[in-house]
Amino acid sequence: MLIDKYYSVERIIKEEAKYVFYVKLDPECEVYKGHFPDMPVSPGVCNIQMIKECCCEIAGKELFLGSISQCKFSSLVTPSANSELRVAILMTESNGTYAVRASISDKQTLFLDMKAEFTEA
Amino acid sequence: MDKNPLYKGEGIKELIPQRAPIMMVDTFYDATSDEGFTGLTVSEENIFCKDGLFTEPGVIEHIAQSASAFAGYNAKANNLPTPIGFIGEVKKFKIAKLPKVNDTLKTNIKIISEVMNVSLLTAETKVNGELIASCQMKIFIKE
Repeated sequence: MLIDKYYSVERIIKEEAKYVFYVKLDPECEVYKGHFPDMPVSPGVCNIQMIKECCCEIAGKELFLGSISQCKFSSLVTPSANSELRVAILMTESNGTYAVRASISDKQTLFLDMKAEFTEA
Repeated sequence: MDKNPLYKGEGIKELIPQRAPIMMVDTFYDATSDEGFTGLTVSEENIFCKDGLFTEPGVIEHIAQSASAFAGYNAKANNLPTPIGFIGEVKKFKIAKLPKVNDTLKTNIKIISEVMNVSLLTAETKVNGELIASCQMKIFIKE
């Protein structure tokens, strides 16, 4: 994990071609000291990193996030109110390129929706 | 970009709301009405570093905070407080290779539009004159 104590994976479920990682954010993670002082909001890029790490887990190897065609952050994630999240990943591999469609949500809210391409690192 | 930077080191805190350990801009070189020029020298302790490389989320955060610094610079000129912004969307992000520890990223952000509290911008990041990353970004400014 790149950012120490940012999240933990509670369980991973495979639903046909899709993988769903149930994760828990840690409000004590040190990034919140700076993002932002007195107003902890999960940095969008830390959530992109969390998706990347889930993708590496599925692929079973280190990946490089070479391109993001689109990543929408539709709602803010606050670690105290939205600590339990669902990271859904659909990944297709072709000649060493991994096309990924990923989302982060909870029961009520979609927080992030991303289309990206990874290659082997 | 060769003249003395307008803000650097600790002085950058006057322009951006982010604080350690997630400050990803350390220099504000200059600005025009719609462009900002920023920099970051990658330290070994940077939280986005792994195995001597500055990883993809660090580069994206650096671009977002470059936009934040530009917004902060304009706010300061108008005697307004430093605005807090959030990334709303990243589009067409490409990264050719990861910067290394001690590399200096130099970023040019260009504002395409500012409507209500949403800024749309393009960004290009170079290391040693070589383009390493580019994207479009939408930033929401907190009311």
